[in-house]
Amino acid sequence: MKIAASILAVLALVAGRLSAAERIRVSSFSTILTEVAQQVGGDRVDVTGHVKPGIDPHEFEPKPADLKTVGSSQLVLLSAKHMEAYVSKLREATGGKGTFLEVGDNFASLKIADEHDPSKIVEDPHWWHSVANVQRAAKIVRDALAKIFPEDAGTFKENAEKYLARLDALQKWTKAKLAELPRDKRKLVTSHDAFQYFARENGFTIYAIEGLSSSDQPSSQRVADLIRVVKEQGVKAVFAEAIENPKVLKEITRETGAVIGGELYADGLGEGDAATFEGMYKHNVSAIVDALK
Amino acid sequence: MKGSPLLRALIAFVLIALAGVPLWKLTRADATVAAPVHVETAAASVTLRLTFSAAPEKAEVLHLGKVVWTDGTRATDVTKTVALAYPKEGVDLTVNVAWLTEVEGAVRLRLTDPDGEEHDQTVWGRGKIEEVVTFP
Repeated sequence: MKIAASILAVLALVAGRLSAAERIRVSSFSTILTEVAQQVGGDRVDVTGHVKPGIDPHEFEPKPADLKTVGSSQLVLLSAKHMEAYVSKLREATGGKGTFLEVGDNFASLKIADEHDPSKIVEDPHWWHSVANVQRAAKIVRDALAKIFPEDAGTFKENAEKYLARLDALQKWTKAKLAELPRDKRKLVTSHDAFQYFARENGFTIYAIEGLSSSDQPSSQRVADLIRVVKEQGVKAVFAEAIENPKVLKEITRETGAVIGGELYADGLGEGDAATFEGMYKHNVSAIVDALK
Repeated sequence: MKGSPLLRALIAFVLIALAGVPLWKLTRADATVAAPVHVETAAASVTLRLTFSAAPEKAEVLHLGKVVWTDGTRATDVTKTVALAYPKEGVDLTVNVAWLTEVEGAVRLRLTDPDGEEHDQTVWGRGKIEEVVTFP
């Protein structure tokens, strides 16, 4: 009896190890896509998030340890729309064995004039500030996982449906929360220009201190223009970002009497409540509505 | 100029210090600036016409969290003029409808804005509707 039990235990252990070994190895260079892969892949995937919550993806550069992990990954998830300037280096260094999925390139971009050269049109990489885009990303990741491991396509479909339903609920919650804020008060003054997708969906006008990248530096003319806009339009609050230095924002509040309405998560997930996409999005929407209404 | 050099230096120091007071007041870090004032859009007459696919048990329309219209008469077509702020950017109206049965139902909202322009939207729900509808 004891021998039979021991054999069963060993068999279960071996089966478990085999199952773990069969998991799809995924590398993600976006905190949002790390969550999407985990939610859609469930226990069939091992996801390595290279860009950690709270890290600025505009400034991120992969290290040798990242390249090693990517080299053994079956699926590499990239935010795309020119967010990862290192992508060709990544392909070259890892031999491009896994599938490189540039998720953001599979749906339409907002195109805006470049901060430094207005004649140049650039793609806005911050697509995750549209819930509909995150839903598109979930479907793209679902299909990619099913292609790599067709046996588990049903599981990925089921997981994706649950996640998409949660995102539908988030969209509904957002509309209800924003209905508390009059449309003529939807003016968002932020550190860098990361909220255009959110603005387009929800009727906001964005006044950003910096350009699309958090490394852009504002000119004194830009700051003076923003001070004038805040005063003229009676904007009650301006918003800092969780990973940015709010020095210029503080100057604007000093000059205009507006308050800092809180910190927004512009470049991906954060810690605590903002550790999930739903939490991050709700944090941003609540901060905006509560400060501006 | 008469007087001791020490006295003259003291007077000069006081005069310079006094001249600096307004400058300091204007430039100090905690100088208080009045908060920006948002000019609120004045309330204007807006006509709402609601047509239901079936008589609702309960129906209400909210604007900025406040009920602007409610009806329990179970009529399928109602028109009411309400006063609400209607900025050029538009308005979000929250529409809550409940029916007694769990069947697919709809409500058509026709809003005539303060300029007399009519906007038309229809929302659907199963047994109930809890939706935010944006005009125009």
